[in-house]
Amino acid sequence: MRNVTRRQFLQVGSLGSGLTLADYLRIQAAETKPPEKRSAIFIFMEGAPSHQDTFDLKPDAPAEVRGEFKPIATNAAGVQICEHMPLLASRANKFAIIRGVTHNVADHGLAKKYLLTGNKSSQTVSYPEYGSVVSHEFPSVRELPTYVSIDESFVGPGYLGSRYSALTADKPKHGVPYSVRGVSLEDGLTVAKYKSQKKLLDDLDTAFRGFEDLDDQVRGMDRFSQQAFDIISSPEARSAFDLSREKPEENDRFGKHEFGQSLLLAARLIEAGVHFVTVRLRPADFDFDTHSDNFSRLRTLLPPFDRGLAALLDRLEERGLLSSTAIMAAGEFGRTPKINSQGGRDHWARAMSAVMAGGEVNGGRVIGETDRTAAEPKSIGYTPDDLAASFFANIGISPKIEFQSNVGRPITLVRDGSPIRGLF
Amino acid sequence: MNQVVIAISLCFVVELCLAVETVVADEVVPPVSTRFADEQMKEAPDFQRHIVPLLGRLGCNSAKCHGSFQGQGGFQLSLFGFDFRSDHAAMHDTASSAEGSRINEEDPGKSLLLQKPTQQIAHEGGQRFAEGSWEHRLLLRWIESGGHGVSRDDAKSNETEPLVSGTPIPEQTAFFNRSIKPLFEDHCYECHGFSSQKGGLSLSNREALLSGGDNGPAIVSGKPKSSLLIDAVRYSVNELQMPPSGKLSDPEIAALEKWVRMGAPWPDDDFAPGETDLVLVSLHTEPAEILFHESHQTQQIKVIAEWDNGIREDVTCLTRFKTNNDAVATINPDGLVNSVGTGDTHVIAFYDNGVAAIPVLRPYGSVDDRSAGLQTSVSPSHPIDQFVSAKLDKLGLVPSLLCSDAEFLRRVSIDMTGTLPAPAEVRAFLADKSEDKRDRKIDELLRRPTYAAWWTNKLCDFTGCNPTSIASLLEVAREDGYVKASEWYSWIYDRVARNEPYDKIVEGMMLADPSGRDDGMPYFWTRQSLKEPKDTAMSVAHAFLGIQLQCAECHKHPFDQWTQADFSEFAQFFDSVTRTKRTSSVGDAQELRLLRSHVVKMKPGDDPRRPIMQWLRDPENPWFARALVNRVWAGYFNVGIVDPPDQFTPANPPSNPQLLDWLTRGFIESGYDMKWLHRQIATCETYQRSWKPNETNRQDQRNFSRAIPRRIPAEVVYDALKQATAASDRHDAVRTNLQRRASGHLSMRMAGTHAMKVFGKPDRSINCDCERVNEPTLLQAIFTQNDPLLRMRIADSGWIIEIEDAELEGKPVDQKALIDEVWIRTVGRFPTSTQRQRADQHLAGSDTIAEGIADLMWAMLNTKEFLLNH
Repeated sequence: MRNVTRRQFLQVGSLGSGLTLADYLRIQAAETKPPEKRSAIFIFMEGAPSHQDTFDLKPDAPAEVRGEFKPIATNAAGVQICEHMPLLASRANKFAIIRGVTHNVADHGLAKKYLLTGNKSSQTVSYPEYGSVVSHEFPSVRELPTYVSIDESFVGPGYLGSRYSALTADKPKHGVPYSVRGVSLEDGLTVAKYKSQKKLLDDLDTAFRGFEDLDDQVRGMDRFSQQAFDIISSPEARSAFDLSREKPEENDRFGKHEFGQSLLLAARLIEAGVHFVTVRLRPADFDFDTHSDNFSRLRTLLPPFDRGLAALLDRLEERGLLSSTAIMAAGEFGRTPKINSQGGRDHWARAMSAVMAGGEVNGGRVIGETDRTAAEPKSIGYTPDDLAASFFANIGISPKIEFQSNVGRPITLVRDGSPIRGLF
Repeated sequence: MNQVVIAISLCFVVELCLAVETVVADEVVPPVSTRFADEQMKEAPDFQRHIVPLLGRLGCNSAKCHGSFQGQGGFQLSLFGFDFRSDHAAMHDTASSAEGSRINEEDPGKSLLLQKPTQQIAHEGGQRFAEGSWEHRLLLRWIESGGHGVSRDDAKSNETEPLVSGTPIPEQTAFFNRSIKPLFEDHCYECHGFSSQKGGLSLSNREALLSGGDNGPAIVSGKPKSSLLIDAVRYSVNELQMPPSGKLSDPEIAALEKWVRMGAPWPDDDFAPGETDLVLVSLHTEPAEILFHESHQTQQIKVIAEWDNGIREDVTCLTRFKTNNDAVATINPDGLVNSVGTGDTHVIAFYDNGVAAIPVLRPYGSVDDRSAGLQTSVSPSHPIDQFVSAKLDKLGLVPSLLCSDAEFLRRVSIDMTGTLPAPAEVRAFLADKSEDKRDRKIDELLRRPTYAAWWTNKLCDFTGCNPTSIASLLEVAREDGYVKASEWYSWIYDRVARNEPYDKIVEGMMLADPSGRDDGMPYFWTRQSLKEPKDTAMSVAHAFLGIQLQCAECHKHPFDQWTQADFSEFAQFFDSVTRTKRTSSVGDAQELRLLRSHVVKMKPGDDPRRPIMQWLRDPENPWFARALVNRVWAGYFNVGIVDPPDQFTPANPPSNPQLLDWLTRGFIESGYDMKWLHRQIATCETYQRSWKPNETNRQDQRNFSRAIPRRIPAEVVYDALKQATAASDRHDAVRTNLQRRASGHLSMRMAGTHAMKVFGKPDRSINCDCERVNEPTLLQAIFTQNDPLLRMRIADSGWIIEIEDAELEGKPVDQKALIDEVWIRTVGRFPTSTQRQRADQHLAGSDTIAEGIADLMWAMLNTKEFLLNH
């Protein structure tokens, strides 16, 4: 009899996709090479940027709708974006814009969960965020965590279980020495000293000697202990988090703003072999939730976003990684067509935009369309579920694979979405 | 002997659900597979007894096919089939395809229901049966005989006549279920549902729509243009645009218009899904138990259904089967069981709402193995040991030897009090030569406040004491959630500490005055997460019965007897219990069934919680005492006798039913004395066995032949790190100050912190014991090796600072004693001579003793021996 608990058994035995710890360890032991197309970055523009002022401008709409920003041409024929994103405009061939993404959850918390999982949040099922799914499907090589969340993850691994949680890396700040909780050696602790501690541990951890294969619990502890040591001590992993290794020019290219620094860190992690990075763009002073002063705030937020994302695309392309790294950038919803009395725009879920790049994405195009005031998609539009399905498809994971919820209920990864046509 | 054992084990299933007993074969109607193999067969099949089970057996109503919430190819059946009325309606509904109708009365053979599954017409689901097969004939005869549903007058109605009453014909029921109900649920019920009625409007039933809210009637039957609801969803009036979050799609609006034009048909609420006149009394299986000896041995299962009208029928060919462990035995769709490996499991038969479990065993070894000097205990005297031993004998398993005193002390301290033993306690216990020292230690631990704290923490898990769900959003901002959660904790703590009977504690929660005016604990009821009666019903079932009801909210429970009717009837009790009131709102006196186990009479004005409480503590209640006994057991053995411990279903039978029965009876007879229960469990040899396996029991994870090493729970990790590094004179305070313990009052405060998330402390936000995760993960290893918290505990260790100070002051330092102390503080034993040598060697190479001891402490805190309870 295998060492499976009954719940694990229910997961594996009856419906397939749920991976038990035993399976997980077996896969790790076999060191299966994940498919080539395997990395991804989700850039979460928290607070919900107004689509009309970023990727879906309506210059012909009435003044109270069209706002202060002008569209500019891009290097893709017929594609226009906001004037405050000139660097992206000259790289529009590298990404696709999806307009007319629509849903009806205009509450930040619930909509964030929706956009981070591709499923509308539910009372009975807790859905996993994208990175946890990728962790589950493509366990990483030993020296690296599979999934890193820059700034603590908002949703967590949901029904997949804590094994698929993100390693949290705080937002890097330019000019401030960077450290990652649990990974960076602090207070003068050297790698040599840490290695000698680990050697001591290996010599003293003898109670289960001869019984290393007793069960998954014991096997798992040994394996994870070694993997943790590898991550903390290996030059590769330490270097992946070490932003001080970047040249000043590269820092300038990404920008010193936390957006650019976070995206630079994301690039380093992907280059080192991390499979998924979530980057939460949510500055402490104000974010994309522009209920007031929409235009002045965006004048502050868009340039660093423009610079950071443009640099990310360039860098991944230079290093031959863009075609193997799926990128998605989106907020949780759009904003009201009408500008309010405080010069802001309020929550609006009926229309928003998203950007996809990397992997198989055909850049230089706009998919979908909104009406005259960017209030509604023309025709039926796309949903966050479709975005998730497309994102997963671009990572190489079928959006229709089936898992088990916390209580053993079969759950399709993205129940209601399908990959967006014309994107790939 | 074996047969007797099994008879008792099956009785447990009887109590839960349906009798499984021996049947006199000659009264039994032969299976439809035989009867309908005959072309001349003219019998009219029965919808409930034959048609719906056949669809289940063929997989038609599975989640991947027509049982999916969107249906498949426009044809939607209820998932796992127990919604007879809507299934019947769907089968009679007009098919969307141009290929014809599902049921063709003029030419039954041309019905899509027959032509699709036989692949005469392309069917995405492939061929399910052949033309001329018994399945084909069974469905054909059913259509020919009129295609009746569960109740005779429910047969396909006459033609569509203009509908005024709102009572729908089957097509309309299907349309409502498919297009209208989900729309209301997704877009409207948050504000206009059962609990919230903004603008005085509820869309929860037809009458409510007709009478409307503050703006007048929401619909005028048959007249979409005069219906406010339609205006609102079309966004045609500026002031009234619904839903406010965004306009519905055009097809959705069109569906609503069509529905209003139809007369707003609404399926009769009194006719709950799955309601039927025909009741399955029992499901008998033969044989009652299967004992295999080698691989590839097989055994055919036979299933006989007994109905309340006296019919007994062989339904093997209409039954769904599954195995609970395919590494022990597999079962094919026809019910043939095949031996795969050693061990024990069950194969499960599902038919109608009946569930029967048949034990399958294949011994690990033979009796001969036991003469090979492995025998440990001669004739056990503790009843628990007797029950466990009987099962082990059957499986050819020899239990492991007793664990050492050091292992016992650490293990029982963690399981019983969530606390590592104190260094002085370890030394005293190891030095104690008396025979009864383990039993005395158990009594001593049960008197400690840490026992009450640890098990209060567990009871808070089971009952859902979650700071963020207790309070409103505003209150959370003011931290009232923590205050209330702490009150909840303290309320249980006081009672566990004075060993108040378990049923009294539950009573104090169940019957609490929601306004807090009595000495009960009202927050169980006032949680914000209990939005609707159904949420309360699920929470009560999970917390006090160990039952997961949520599946039955939307469809027949796939692994249990529960139907939507059972669920809604149970939820009805809680209709009237809200944050402010607690009296029954039932119109007239009525009888309500409590999960098929008890019938209660309710009058208007009654507090429905009283009869529920009476039923809970009734010694005959099949779950209440059993669920707690099993959860406490799981707290000591890592697995429950029923496991997962909160999944009491007939498809998940106990691994040792006699043991669970005995403990449950004893617990009830003791007057729900929790300390009695803990003492029984901790004093038996079974609990005190070593984790080290012998030749026979290495694979055993469910029969308690040895201890299972398990990671110490999140709160214990946190507290143990503090305790292991505490200054000598602070050690007692660190252990006993419950205000500062993660398993004490900090439990609520720490929920959701990094350390607790990493080590799997439950949020207490969903109804599942699985929320607590004890699996090892990478992040845990990163935490114990290098997290700032861990590094800080060592760097700031009062004890290591003492050593540092002594060294600085040039005082003599007893290196050997310090090394001993590291082991005693972390793993509760003295180091072995090899370990002592290694430690000495390390200290010799360290700049200072204190630094060397710090390294040793770091290493020991990262050993499996420390992180596992073993």
